[in-house]
Amino acid sequence: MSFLNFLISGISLGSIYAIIALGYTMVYGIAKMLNFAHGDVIMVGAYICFFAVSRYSLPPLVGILVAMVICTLLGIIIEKLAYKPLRAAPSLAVLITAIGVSYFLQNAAQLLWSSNPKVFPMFFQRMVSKTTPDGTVQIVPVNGIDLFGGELRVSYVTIVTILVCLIIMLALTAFTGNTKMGKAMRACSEDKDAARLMGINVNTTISVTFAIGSGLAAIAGVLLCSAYPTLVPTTGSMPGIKAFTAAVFGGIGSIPGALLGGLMLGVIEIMAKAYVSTQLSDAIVFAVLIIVLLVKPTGLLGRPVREKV
Amino acid sequence: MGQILKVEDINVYYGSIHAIKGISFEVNEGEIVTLIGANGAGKSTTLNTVAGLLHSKTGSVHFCDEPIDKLACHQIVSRGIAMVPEGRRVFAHMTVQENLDMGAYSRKGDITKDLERVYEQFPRLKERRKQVAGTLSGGEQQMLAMGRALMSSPKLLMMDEPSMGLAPILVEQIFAIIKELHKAGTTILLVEQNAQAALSVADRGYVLETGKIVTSGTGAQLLASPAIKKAYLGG
Repeated sequence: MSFLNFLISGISLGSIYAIIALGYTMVYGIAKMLNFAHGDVIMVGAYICFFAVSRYSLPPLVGILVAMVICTLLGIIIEKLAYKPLRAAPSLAVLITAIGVSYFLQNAAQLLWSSNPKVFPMFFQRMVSKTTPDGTVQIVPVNGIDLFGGELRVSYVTIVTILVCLIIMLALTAFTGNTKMGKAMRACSEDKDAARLMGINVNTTISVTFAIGSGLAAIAGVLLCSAYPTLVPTTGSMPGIKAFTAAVFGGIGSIPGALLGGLMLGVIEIMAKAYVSTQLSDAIVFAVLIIVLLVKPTGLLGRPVREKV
Repeated sequence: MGQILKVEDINVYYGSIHAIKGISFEVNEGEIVTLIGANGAGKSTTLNTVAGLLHSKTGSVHFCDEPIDKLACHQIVSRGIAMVPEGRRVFAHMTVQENLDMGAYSRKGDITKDLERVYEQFPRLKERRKQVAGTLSGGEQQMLAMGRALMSSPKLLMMDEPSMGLAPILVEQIFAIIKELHKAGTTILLVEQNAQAALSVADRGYVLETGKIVTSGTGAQLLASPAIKKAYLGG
């Protein structure tokens, strides 16, 4: 039964990676750049939600919405100020800029909110009244459900995370497959000049992509901090790197690839922690990545780069 | 028959390379006008400048008496200029139907009539409408690129080397389609290396050499000119 427990926590962690990886993969697919500041947008989202709920006592759902709105705006602003002026610059310059934005966000967070860890509130629990042996009735929080007579415990965070990830994937697939803007995004990711000739405003499309990715980052930040409740200015950087790895693993530029890569990375990480070694888990994760890339350089679901004839 | 496109004294640079050196020409409504010339003469650069993918340092481009040389490409498309780019550039991972939908991106309202018209013109595309464009043959991709441009129901259709890389029988077919479009009243600006074929369908032609227009005339005049024959038609 413990295997099933590990598998479920792996899928849950992987779902968070997948949501973050979507941001990397969509931006890469369309702007052909690696937005290394994406992980730090997650951190900003988590902080915004934290303050909205703890300091301004807003309900959690409103807190998440506020975080999404602010992160969406932040994504658009970062793109406008930092990346858009470099649209014609070599990709290395854009990459360095992205790393710069990442450090800027971390340091700004440290300045604004200090580096003291914040304990993220528990959102996903319910109050249950319990009768104690001495007869008094107590109200205690319950944060999960027990299955198989207590052998398998699934927390609400886990359930919510997996469901949210599924909903986001389905919504994005429907968006890119059926809507005009979604199809324009796919057209831009294939051939920007041809897309321009169709009358598509490529700049707007790139902004929309950043907006969607950053909005999703806010959701990922809240889910991440609900599962691992310590919030510091560097909270986003390691999950960001892992999610980037997940995106490459699944095939960067591919939306189903982000899901597959994220889930696999999460499961491998938890399994390695459980059965091999906690210290070596990251080494194992990256070793698997290297092997996959050696066998399939475009990632699991990546498309080979077409040679222009 | 009014003037639809007027290009005046454009100069286009790729970095320090002066690719277009003061070109001026015009296209009248209902005409087929062709730009011919050797590789590197500046034919594609001229089309890309009209389309707004490139911008001229001097001069002006007027479309339907309005200046368009400062506009972005997507704005020019919505004014009624469509381009079939060199090398077809269909969206290879999207279906035939989705490619045609993209062609109509700048339009509002119902597009079913235009879709029907394009499918009528290119029945092959209708058969394969659910197929991903990358799996089509070269000729079919060229038809898709033309159909996609027509979906915006343009006032001016620009085509860049539509016969490139196609078997002779397909080249004939493509030119037959160009003639049909012309009969239906579409104004066409055509860039071709296949000067013979281009001049035989064109009302007028301009000959480019290293970024300048060296000769112009009606299609028949240019076809008959000994100099043109020697330079571009192989004797």
